Amino acid sequence: MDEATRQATRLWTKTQPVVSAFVASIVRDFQDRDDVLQEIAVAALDSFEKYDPERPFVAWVMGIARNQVGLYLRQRRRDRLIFDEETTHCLAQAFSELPETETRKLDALAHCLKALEGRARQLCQLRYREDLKPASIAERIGMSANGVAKALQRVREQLRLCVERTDTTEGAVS
Amino acid sequence: MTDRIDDLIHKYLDETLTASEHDELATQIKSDPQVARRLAEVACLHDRLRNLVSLDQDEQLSAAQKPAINSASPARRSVLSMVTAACLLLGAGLIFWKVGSTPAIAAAAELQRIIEANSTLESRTYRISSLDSLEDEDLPVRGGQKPPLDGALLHVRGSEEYVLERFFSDGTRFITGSDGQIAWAIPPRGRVRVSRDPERFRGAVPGQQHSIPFIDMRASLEQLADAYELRVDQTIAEDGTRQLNGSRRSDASGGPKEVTIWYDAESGVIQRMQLSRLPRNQGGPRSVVLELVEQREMNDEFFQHSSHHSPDREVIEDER
Repeated sequence: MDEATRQATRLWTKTQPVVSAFVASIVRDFQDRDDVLQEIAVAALDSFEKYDPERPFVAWVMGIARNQVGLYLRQRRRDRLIFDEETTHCLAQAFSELPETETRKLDALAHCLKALEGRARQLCQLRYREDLKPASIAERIGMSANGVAKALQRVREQLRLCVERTDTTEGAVS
Repeated sequence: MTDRIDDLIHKYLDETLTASEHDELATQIKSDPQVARRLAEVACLHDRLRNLVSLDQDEQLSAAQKPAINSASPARRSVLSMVTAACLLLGAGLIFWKVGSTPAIAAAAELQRIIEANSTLESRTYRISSLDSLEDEDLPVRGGQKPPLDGALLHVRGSEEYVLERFFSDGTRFITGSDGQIAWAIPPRGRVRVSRDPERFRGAVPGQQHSIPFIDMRASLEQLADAYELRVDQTIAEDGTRQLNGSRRSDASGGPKEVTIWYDAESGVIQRMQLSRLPRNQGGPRSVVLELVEQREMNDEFFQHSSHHSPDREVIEDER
């Protein structure tokens, strides 16, 4: 592997979580998200020689991600519930500007996930492991779809607070 | 951030927004950068959560209520794909970084040989196999049932003449075709439709809905050269075939992600062609194989509708 490829790989590995989250925020089908993410990875490598190292890599790769997401959305323009180009642009901008600490603190998520119990744990599994939507989860566990949606929101909020606490604690220690 | 915005964001990620709520969220994102930022933060957690839950299932989610899940669940595949995306970058560096590398040149030269060999072929018949369980949905049929593509026969001559025979489970056939000037469709029962648009009724032909002019073999193969990264496997199989693989370039749109051609190593004649991961936004199977069944002389009449139905069938002309 040559030095340029090594450098591209290093930068991509560092940036992938935020690019992946951006794609997931637009392409909500997880399988499709993976496909789009792969396209972005290949496109980034293909055009890496055009990358100006003076610029932040995340902004550059986010431009590629926007193009790939745009291609995906054009194929699904008949779907009503997809964001328009301007909204996608605003989101890409927001992701590009997320401080690195924002994604780094999510490293504590694994620890927080272990602390989940009972229904919260079950909901996480059904939503994120089995890719079920609230209506399907509701059928499985005998809740209303709205109740499941609300419960999922609470679980994510609980995890976010846990991540924040862990980050603060570790910050205080270090 | 208001509770209302948070509700919208979470509902958006779980795909439970109504159309009006979706519009409301989009408006908020465009007018307030803080809303976009908030969605970005929640999406990061949502995305990471998804990866973690499947990646470390045994350690993290092995509670008593864990349902039986096979190792190839969607989430698991997703993580594998994420890893693949990273590996792809490494792999791609080796495979695609230098377009002008020796393997790429060898593959391009081999493709040229295949183009020449197959352009001179007159008429040929392929059997089509779908590699997934999804049924062909391209050709709407009044009255309900749609003819499956799996098991269909495609007869081709030149770049415009074809006959596609699709078989229902009861043995009846749905036949479409064109003699290059008139296109036609013959359902098992009812009226025969004809059109002066030669492209009419071509929707079911593999690759047609993805702008792959499969019937025109030369154009099809030339498109491969333009839009795909090619590599040739020099190994010759027991049946005398060699394999050419194409991966769609990242800047190319449409068409299958992967194309594999098995061709006679000596003559260059294509024996089998696999189109994998076809875009499914317009229906049809995800992956298909076209296998050469025979090469034989087919006369002009074979590509006209009258050769494929009884003379008493009513024939109507389509407006298109």
